[in-house]
Amino acid sequence: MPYSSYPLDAYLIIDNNAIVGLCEYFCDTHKKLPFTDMIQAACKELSDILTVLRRFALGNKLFSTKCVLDEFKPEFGEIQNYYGFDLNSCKHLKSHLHSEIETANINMTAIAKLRAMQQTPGRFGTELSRLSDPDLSLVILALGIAKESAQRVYVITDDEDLRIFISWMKPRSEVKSMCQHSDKVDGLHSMIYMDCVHRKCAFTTLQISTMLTFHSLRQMSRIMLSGTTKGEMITRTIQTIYESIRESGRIKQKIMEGAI
Amino acid sequence: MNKDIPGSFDEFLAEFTASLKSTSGEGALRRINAERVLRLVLEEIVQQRQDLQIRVLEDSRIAGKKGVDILMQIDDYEIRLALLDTPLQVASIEKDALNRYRETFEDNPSTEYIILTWTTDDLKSQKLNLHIIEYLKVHPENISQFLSKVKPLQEVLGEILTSHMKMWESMVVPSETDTSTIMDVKNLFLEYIHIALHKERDRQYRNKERKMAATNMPQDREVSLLTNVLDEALQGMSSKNLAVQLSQLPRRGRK
Repeated sequence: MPYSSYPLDAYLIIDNNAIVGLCEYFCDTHKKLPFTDMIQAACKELSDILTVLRRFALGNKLFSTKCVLDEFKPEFGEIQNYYGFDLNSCKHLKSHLHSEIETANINMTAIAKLRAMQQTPGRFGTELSRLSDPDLSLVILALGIAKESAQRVYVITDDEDLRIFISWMKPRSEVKSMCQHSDKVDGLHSMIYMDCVHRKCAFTTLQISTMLTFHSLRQMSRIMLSGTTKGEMITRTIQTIYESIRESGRIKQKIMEGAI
Repeated sequence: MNKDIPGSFDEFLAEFTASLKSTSGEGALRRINAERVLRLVLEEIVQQRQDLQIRVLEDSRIAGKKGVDILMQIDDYEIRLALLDTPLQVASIEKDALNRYRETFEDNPSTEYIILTWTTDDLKSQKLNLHIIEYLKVHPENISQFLSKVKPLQEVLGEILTSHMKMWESMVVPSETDTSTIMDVKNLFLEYIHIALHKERDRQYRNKERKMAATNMPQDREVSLLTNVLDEALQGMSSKNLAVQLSQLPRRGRK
């Protein structure tokens, strides 16, 4: 019998790419509305979903760093191609999002300690060049919260390199010297985290499957455009994602029936 | 990997699958963390051992449900890698696991080893082959001793790759070829080339013109050129220079 999900008792730190993914989804859902109304509707949906995430988060807060939130620039995203695009609405979306998330200031010099780590795998580049300062600022924030609270901390990010880096750095002595509870820090994909929340009946299966499908197809089209994946592999991957969504729905059903 | 190219779905699917199939939430977290580090280790090995052209694949896509987690195709053999959860950072193995691994070997004859890797910080591992499985089935009391000899994954993989390194026996070429050897080789060559020319001249053709062409085939200049090239080769001239000389041979049908 599978367990119901990843543990949800954790502080949540959210990355810009996860926020962008949610905004793109909600804007796409309401794209037939006039631009200003679409932004209003997206803000409302964004608030609803972040409220759900806050409900599950320790301290009932969502955290991020200033430099990560500064990266949120909807005016340069998909919506700039929408009919009726206007900058004021984008500013509204931006300020609305900032009001939903706790901005933490971190000591940026701590990033240099991470970059100075020895024997880093080639994937991350020399001195972790493949990870930006904002990426590493989230790691520093997570380590800081883990150090203070000795509780689990999730960095919710869609950046594969960042998630892999978090898994790699956790047991390293350099990191342990900064935070003895570094093993409490984990990186999770935003959609996977939300799927786990869905299994706790916070979203309907239809909601999560629509979001997952939107996210997967968008990512898949990017991969196809980059020409790195063969058609057969894409079909198989989409099939696996759909099977996983169905399995997740079954787990949720069992939770509702009290079987798990 | 270029940062501009979107990441693959492998990591996303691994995260999704772990959350669906693990028996505990903590176990699922241990598994995804170990899988990520495991991929990093394998990426490094593939990079370091480019000469072996190692391919790393998800085993379930190749062997289906009977597969383990990772398949490594190396030259003419395969290594399979099974990731096992350990909450206490100690290597352990289920009773019926040996039977499952034996089936994997039987279904995949080119598999040389299954590496058991536990979800510890440094990915403690131990290699398993059919002989070890049979031995442990007969002597289950030695399983704990077998598990006490775990090593980090890099070391275990390194040992296997080194043990499969092909060592070619090269003939020792004497640095100074003596005159008698030169004469022997030259005489043998001349003997064989005259036999070949003789056969060519005696070939039966339906077409008279072809027969005439074979009989009157020019050979003296060519044989002399080939003999000179052979002489120089036996005296150690570089193949680059010899190739230049050989290119002076007229092409077939041309004078």
